Amino acid sequence: MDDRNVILEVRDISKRFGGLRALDTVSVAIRRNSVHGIIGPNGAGKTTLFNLITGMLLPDSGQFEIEGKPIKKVRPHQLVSIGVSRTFQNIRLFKGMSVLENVMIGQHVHTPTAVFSIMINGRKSRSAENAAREEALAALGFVGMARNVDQNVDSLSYGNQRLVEFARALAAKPRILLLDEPAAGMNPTEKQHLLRLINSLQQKDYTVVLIEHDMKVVMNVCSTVSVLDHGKKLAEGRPEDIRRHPEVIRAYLGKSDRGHA
Amino acid sequence: MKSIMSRRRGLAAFLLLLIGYHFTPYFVTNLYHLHILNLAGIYTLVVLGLNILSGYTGQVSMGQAGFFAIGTYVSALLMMNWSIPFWSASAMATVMAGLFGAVIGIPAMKLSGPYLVLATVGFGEIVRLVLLNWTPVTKGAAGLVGIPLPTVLGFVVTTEKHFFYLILASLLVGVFIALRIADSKIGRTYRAVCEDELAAEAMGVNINRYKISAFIISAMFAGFAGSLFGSFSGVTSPDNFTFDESVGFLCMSVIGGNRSIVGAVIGAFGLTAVSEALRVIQGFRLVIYGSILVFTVIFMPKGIIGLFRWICGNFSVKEID
Repeated sequence: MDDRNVILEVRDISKRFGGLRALDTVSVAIRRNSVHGIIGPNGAGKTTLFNLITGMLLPDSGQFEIEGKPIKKVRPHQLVSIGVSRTFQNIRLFKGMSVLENVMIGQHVHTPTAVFSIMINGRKSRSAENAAREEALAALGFVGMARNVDQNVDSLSYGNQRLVEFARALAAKPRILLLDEPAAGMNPTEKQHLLRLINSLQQKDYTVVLIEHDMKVVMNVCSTVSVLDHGKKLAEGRPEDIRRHPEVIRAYLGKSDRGHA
Repeated sequence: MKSIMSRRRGLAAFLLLLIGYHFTPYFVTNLYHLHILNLAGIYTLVVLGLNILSGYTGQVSMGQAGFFAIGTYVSALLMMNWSIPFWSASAMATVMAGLFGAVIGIPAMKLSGPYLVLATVGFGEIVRLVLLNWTPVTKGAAGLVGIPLPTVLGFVVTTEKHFFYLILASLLVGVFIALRIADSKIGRTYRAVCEDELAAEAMGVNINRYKISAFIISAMFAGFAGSLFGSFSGVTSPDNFTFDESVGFLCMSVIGGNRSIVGAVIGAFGLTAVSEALRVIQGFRLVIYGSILVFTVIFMPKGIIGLFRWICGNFSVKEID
């Protein structure tokens, strides 16, 4: 693969939890401006891979490179400045805070924290606050949640909470956006909306890495798909090819066979 | 944006109330009552800091009396031993308390829930025991006697009424700073850290820095309040800074509403008044205190201010704007 086109490279990553081998020398190269799907049965190691990329877990071996630069011992909060932000499989919004406040947290690293100016309500802090608000509103407008800004996030439907989390990740202005099952719990209309959003992100120069169970979503938006099973990469390629890949079919059907036993 | 508008209006009403409070000494002529109001004002400063710490970042501290004690002793000793003027001594005491806040905040960032509570209880007790046993400096159990009075612009603050204005001015500044912190990016980030550390970290928040800074801020508030307390009382001893005192601060914080700056004021004044009213039945005081706390936690977890907001939200006529 052309190296210049790779924005995020995962190289021979392994991670064990006790006796469980969650990821076993997995390598994935994610091309710039692509929508890269990561699929696999439950427990295949997909979310573990996200947690490793975002520094929430440390790998036992292997490394990551972003635009050719290795990222080592980077703490999770520093990764946003490097240009990676994520959403979570089980929505992790800040409860009790408004939609706007939630998304403004996404702007955290992009606005200065002028402590002195904040104390005296100075111009610097006010303009930073306004800038953060504008960016947050833009992100909310993009996902179609601009009307609910003052609402408490607890009162939103599941699908809308996912959209707010999506907006929060976008407000962090990432180059690489990691979406962990963004369509889970969404109804068909909401899924359609989400697909359109992801497609338009690709046109806007983002790179999206997507964990998803819903094959319809994967087939519709992903340009490349990597399949994980039991911590190993089974296959990688275009979605059309992956769908017919015998190993992949076996992994998925095999799982349901065991499920009945 | 309506919620912001009505919040602004609430704040304006609150500030008006505070200004009206200026005239209190003309109505409250009983010196004992004025003394209680002054004490309540000093406690409010401690609770303001505690609300930022436990209400906003969710780090519950039962050791605020320790920071309060450090403020009192540092400023008192500086004034007594080196005749440093009140404001310089007070500033140094505030900074010193802040340093101790950092010292406690660093281990505390790894702790949460009951473990953090225990660690802060330990800190409060250590401070008290050091004050009790470091006799050459702190005069031990006898405490310090004859702490100098503060001077403001060449004017010596002597009477309860003078102190009333000094404390009120400090309180206004304290409330303003606390409101600014709570209402800004810092306060928002604190709340995010409290709600979900992992998600806040994933959004680029250096959670350790924020958690420690909250400890430092709360310690500085307590330290400054302590320096006022020393000069206000004129005498002090380790008995003023027991575990009960820390629990009292936490009760004020929770009962008033710990995720609100106005709540700190309500809690501190309310509980100081109740506690003085109950002085006649000394033995039952803690029972009643405890009952109020249990009632608050179960029926109005957001404190009196939460109840107030709920009432305004549910029973007010639809706003005209």
